[in-house]
Amino acid sequence: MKDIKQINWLLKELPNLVKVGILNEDKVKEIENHYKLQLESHKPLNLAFIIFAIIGVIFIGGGILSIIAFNWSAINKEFKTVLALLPTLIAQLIGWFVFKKKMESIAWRESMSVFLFICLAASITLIGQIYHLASDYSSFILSLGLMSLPIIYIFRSSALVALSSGFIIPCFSNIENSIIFVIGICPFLYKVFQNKYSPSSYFLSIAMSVLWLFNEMFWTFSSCVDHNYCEINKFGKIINGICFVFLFFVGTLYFNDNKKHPLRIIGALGLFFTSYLSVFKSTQISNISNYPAISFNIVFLILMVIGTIYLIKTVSSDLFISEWCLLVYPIVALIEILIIKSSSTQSFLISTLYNLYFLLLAVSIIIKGNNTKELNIIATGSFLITLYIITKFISIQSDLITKGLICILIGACFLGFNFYMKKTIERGEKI
Amino acid sequence: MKKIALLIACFLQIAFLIYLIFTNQAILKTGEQYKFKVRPIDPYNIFKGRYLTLAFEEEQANPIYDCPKNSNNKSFAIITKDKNDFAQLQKITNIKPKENNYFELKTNYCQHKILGNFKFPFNEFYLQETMAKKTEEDYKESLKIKNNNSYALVRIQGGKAVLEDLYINDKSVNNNLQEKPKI
Repeated sequence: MKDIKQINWLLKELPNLVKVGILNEDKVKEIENHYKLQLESHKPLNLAFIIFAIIGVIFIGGGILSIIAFNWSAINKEFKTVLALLPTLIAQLIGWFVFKKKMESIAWRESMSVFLFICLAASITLIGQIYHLASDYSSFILSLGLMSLPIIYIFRSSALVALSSGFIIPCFSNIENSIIFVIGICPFLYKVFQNKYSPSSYFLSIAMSVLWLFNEMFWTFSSCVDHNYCEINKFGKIINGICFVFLFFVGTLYFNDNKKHPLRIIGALGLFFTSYLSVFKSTQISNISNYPAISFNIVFLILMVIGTIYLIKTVSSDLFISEWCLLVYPIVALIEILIIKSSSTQSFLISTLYNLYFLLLAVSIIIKGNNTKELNIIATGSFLITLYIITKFISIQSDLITKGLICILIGACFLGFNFYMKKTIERGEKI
Repeated sequence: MKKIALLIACFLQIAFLIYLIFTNQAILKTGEQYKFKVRPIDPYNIFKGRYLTLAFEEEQANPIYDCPKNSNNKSFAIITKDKNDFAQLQKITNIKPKENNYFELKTNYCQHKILGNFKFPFNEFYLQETMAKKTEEDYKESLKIKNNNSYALVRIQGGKAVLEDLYINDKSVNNNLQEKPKI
């Protein structure tokens, strides 16, 4: 990191050295090209800035929406109609500014495209509320996706492709309903995936899988947020947990070349999701005796445990604390099966255990990111903590204006932290 | 080239929104009024907040139904009015009617001319969050009154239906449950 600080200083000094005649223009260009390559090698850090910028605008957009929604009834219909168009118009104006001035910045392009998508959604929703139009989620999301298509191409926005496709495609069991959109994004995907190891293809594949997974999970487990409990099979938790741990360590041992580690990512994401869902109170009493096809599952579980122990033994010396934390999830799930019968105290204890586990996991990831100086890992840990806060926040019944203000505050914190990280990295210091 | 594409994209987005506003506004101005007997429920949704879900008496009817031949589940509900302007569901068909007294709706399944449950497309009423619970309570109160008159006022035109207002025992919810103005 110190190198970056020194390189930046040297690059700033070059014009002065030309002025006093120590260097000529050609030498300066050679030096610039040489050191810019070193700066380029730190480009993956940009991903963290992009993610933080996107999360920031999502929160600010959501907060503004909540505040408008709260004051909705105090406004007359004509003014409401104008207000409904306003989010899109403002987003388009910002889009025009980005198009003119900031097209070279990925963070600007990506966050602006997502902001426009949200504002468009906001406008359609507001019009729907003015005229009491019953929400038809699939046609709403499809029309939103179709209107976003030109924005995807103009701003070359991978985040918007991931966002729109992540919501549109799982929404239709029959692909023919979303075929125009699917055909529409194909040229973009083809262009991005031509180079499968590029940062864009890497980001796009991860973002699409996360959003698809999230969307599937959202519909399956929507009761978790609405009622603060989930219907998850306890035995399924152990099976899922151990499978993801197994994938993670297979990825660590055998598929970890050139900083590309898809199995590690799938394993880690799977564990993040299952442990996140476990944060909710679970009400099911499914136990081993009534679990279907139990004999197969038991055999499978035993094999996975043996395989995982072998893998961990092989790589244990290189493991970080966060990786050990990932391992703990199946053990917590096992404790749940062993100790929980029906007592409410025991349910409370296990719920607390899952909550603590999730927070510990998030903090350990941030610590790892700080030790290895990888902002993407810090961003992952911060994202998990944010997700946890939002979940708890949504399950609390408060009015929209409070929710809106908190949303804006969280969004502003993200953007502020983003700015702070950027400045710190530019100075070449440790966060 | 990209500049023109961006301008066209922005124009299309705004045009789409204006189209949504104008079609619904036109129906509210010139569409034919129907009253639907209603039962409002105040649900809570994390994204929508508090609003009113409307269940209609006519949704419980067992109308004649022509099962669609294709997988498209778009159907048309044909309605008539009784002497008090209350809507009565006559028939649900998959053939677009020639008359103007119909609206589009989605049906779930159909077998041997028996229709699965269906919902009218104007079953959500948005209002100030704090009013949703109160309206539901007012409705429950109004049930104690003999000849309770709670209904949704809907405008219908060209197969589209727009919910205009909700009346709880003849008091408009749009006007914060004030008496219905005499026309």
